[in-house]
Amino acid sequence: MECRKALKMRDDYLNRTLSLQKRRLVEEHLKECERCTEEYNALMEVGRLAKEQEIKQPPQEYWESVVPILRRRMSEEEQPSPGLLFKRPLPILAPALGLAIIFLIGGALFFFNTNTFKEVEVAEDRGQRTEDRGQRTEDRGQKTAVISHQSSVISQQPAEETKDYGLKKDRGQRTEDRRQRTEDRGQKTEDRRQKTEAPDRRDILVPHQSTEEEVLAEIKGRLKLSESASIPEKPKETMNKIARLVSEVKAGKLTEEEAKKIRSKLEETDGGRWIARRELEAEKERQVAMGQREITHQQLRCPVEEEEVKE
Amino acid sequence: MRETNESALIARCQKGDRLAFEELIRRYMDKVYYLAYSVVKNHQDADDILQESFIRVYKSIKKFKERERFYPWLYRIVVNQAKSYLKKREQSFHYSSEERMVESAEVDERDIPVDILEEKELRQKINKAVDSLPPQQRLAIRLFEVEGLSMKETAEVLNCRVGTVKSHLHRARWALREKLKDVTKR
Repeated sequence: MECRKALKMRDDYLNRTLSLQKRRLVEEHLKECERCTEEYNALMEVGRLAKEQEIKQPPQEYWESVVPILRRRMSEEEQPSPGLLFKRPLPILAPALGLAIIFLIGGALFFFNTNTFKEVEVAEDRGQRTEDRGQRTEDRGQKTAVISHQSSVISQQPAEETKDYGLKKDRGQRTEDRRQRTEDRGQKTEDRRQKTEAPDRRDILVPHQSTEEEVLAEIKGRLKLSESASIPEKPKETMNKIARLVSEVKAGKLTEEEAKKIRSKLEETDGGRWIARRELEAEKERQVAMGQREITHQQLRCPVEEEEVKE
Repeated sequence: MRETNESALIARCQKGDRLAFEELIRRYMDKVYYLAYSVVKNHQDADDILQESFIRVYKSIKKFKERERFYPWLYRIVVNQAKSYLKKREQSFHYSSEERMVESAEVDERDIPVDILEEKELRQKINKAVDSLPPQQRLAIRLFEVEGLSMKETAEVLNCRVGTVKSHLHRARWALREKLKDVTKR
């Protein structure tokens, strides 16, 4: 064997991957060739030295402790830990848990939506009712106008005719009565309408109740505040002063003029401003509620007015 | 005989025999410890790797196939544990070498006889040379030269191809030859 070939096979020889036949050929060459033997020995020595690498020996007690420690650890591994209790059923519980969360979220959304719908429905119903009421009042007004017109025509006829036709006279009388009743009804409707319309907010600081509590309750009512509503200290103080002012006017301790002056000063305080602000908000809320009705009235009136213009 | 006994022992372990597993631990604990120590270079970590490796074996012994050889399978677990330890601690082999030198320096060398001192120096040189190798080369040398694993088994343990192991061994040998030039000439 040539040295070149022998050196080429060196790694395979050291890696124990040479066939027995080739191994023998290499060994025969090494017996003859000193240079190649040196080369081989240098690397074989490295492998031998690697085996001599020092590894610090642990004490004997360590070897004795290994098995008991591992025995304990194996027992721990076999016992179901709290984490394991959760880990194992999780794959089974996961879909159920997911469904439960979906239902919860869905339920919550449905609840809120229903409430919102309810609120919208309530508001719509309120608007519808106001509209209907307006419609009825309008119809009634129209009817009254027609009847009164007919009555006036009948009443203008000569007396002979009515005498000849007693029945007609009675009818005329009945018509007159009806007209009167219709007018009365119209008046009542008007009164009712005025009552339902927003009252003049400017009289809020001069309520007509006699006692201070009643005045305060009235103010709270007008500001749309519940009994249990928490009112800041300053507005509360201002409210009390207004209530006291009213009762003092009633008692004759103060004149209307003096009360007005004090009231205007109170309006400029922080509490007064808070009341005014809250009053404005309440007014806006009322206008929102009334808005539907106002529009309805306008919508209803428009065609009538147009007809009137045409006439 | 030992092989047959080992197969029977593993079969018992797979059936859940705790005493058989303890016997398996006794048989391999020193090999596992030295292999772990050769990588991490300190007792505490070597002990941790030993424990974790045997627990891993205990958990997955049922997956072990009868036709496989047990110790390459075990070594693979140990090497993986050791590698993850190294990764976790970001410990370099150079650091280990320095640590080792510090440990050695703690001994008063005046009390040691000359021949033992020379032997000690020689071992220190070998250790330093081996420790300076990259981890894969060092493990290849350890498994192939020291543990006596075949090329194929070493490749299995290191989770690489046989050609890669050959490459690691070739580079490791030449690097060690260079570093241990004085020693090999003696």
